[in-house]
Amino acid sequence: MQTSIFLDDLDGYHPRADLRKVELSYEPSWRYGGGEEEVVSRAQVAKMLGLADPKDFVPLLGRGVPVQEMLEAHAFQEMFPSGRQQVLTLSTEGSWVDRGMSKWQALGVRHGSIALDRRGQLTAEVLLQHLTPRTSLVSLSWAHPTIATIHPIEEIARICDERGIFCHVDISALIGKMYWDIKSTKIDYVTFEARNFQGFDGVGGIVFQNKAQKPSWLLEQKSPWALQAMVKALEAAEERVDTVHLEGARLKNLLEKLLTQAIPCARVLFQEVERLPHVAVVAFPYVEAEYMLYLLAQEKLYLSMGGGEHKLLSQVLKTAQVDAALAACSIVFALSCDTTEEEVREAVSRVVKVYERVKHLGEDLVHVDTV
Amino acid sequence: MWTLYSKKMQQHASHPQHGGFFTASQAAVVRCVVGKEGSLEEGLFVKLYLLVEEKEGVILEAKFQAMGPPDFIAMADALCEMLPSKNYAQASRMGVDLLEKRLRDGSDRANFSPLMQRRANLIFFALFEACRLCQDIATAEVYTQSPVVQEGGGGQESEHQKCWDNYSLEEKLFVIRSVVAVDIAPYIALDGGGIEVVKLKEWEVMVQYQGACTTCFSSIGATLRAIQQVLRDKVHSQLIVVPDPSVLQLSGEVF
Repeated sequence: MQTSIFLDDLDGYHPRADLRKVELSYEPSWRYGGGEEEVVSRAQVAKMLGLADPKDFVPLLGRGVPVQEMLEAHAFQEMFPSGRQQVLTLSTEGSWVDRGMSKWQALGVRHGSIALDRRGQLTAEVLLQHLTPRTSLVSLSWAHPTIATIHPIEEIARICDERGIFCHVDISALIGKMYWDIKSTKIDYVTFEARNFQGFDGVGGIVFQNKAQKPSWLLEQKSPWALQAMVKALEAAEERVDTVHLEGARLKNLLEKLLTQAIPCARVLFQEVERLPHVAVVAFPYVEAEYMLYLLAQEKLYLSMGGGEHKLLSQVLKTAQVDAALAACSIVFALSCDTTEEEVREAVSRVVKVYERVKHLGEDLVHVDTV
Repeated sequence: MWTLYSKKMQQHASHPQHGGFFTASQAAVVRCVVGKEGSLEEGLFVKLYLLVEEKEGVILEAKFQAMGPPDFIAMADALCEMLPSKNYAQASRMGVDLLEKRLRDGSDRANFSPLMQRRANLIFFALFEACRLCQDIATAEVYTQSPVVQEGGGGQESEHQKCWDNYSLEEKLFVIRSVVAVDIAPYIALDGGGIEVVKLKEWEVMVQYQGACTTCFSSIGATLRAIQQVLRDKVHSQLIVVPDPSVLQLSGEVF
């Protein structure tokens, strides 16, 4: 009997087994302040984030809340007083940014959207073309969770800082997969949510640093329960970063190599740039992505094509100027820290089996020479 | 969305039987027409290949190539299964509702979402384009091939037959009319005809033809036998179907 293989862990949908068993203590009196426990837990989180002052970190509860609160803080503290009301985001950012912006657009904030370049990145050159005297905030994720490309954040933040523009970076996709250091950059707002690194759903936070000031009216989650949850998730992420960074990258490279050997017309996208170590985007010409996923799910191999709170992979790829017919045939392999080499080899054999069975349905339609 | 798929749709999506195209040698003997619709850029594209017999425009075989989600592939495959033995004029009168009924598991639950209906429309546009390329072929005025699909009951007693004696006359008529509406009428409509159950007297079911059926000899021949067979399989094995003679106009004479 076939075993199920899950290579769909784009956004930490599957919480880690050890975190599911964690017991978090709780006291009803924490509603009125967490006392010593709060101070200790907050200091632990701040240390793991590399912050000097624990008060720079604001814990928050709720999906998408960190980004929403960051936008609100920036709007009232910077945009409305200064009159500079343009926010630039990537056209590929997830739905939380779009939802957050729609609220502020109704109040006169202008939303500019930047497309990725052919390598799936926002480069300094492209950013400079989009900056205007009215630009107040540049908001993006450090790494794109679906196509896995990593943006040159240090350079982007420096360019923004030199022009007095605020820079917001969401680091959720990077935690537990790469080494990062926010303190040495010129980033102003840093947001993250634990569920994106296999932690607890709804636990997240904002870091205010550089030019950004924590607003006095921001309602932070003071319960040590939330802070403990964040500590546990960050600890777990820190423990496995080596595994993902080294073993995850090795397995991803093996997967890409085996796939392209077995299916010569398959194309691995964005190989030429720095990517998250555990994610591979592969196009299988002739077979539409959802159909491929459907057939693979019947073989108990579960992959992803984006969607949900992320944009669909095909849409993201089109904005990165990937050939549209190829974008429609692309799927994401997202390995977790629990993925084994045996699973990777088995996954490749299942993909090859399905692809060989149905590729004739579209073989005459998409010409490989246009790929 | 996959959870909305009927078992029939899953079967067509998982194991399409009509994918591909015809070889030059196959196309040399009869006419091969191609209809296409959609856009590769949108990830939704279909190409329908029909092998059409030149004498009366009957579709001998249909194949497809497509790029699209599972339901799109399933619908294209199911349509290709339905087309053989129809002529191109019949095929061009087919619609999404017929395909939807074909892919239902039960007889009473629609299984196409609005999105799937839009995708099905694309496939039919491709079919209509292919059919337009056959318009120079004269179709026979009288078809000997019944449009009714015979779904044999394999000699087994239907559920209704087991309870038949306990049904009131109204219940019996309701059952017969339901089967006619789902399993017979859509196929009759393909030829521009219609059918209505008028009465039931003991084992005799009287049907009244409408539209093109009233002037078609098949309505008292092959079509009538096929209707009777469907009702015997799905309702009761002793039913006899007779046409209402008052509406038939065969060879210009009142029957």
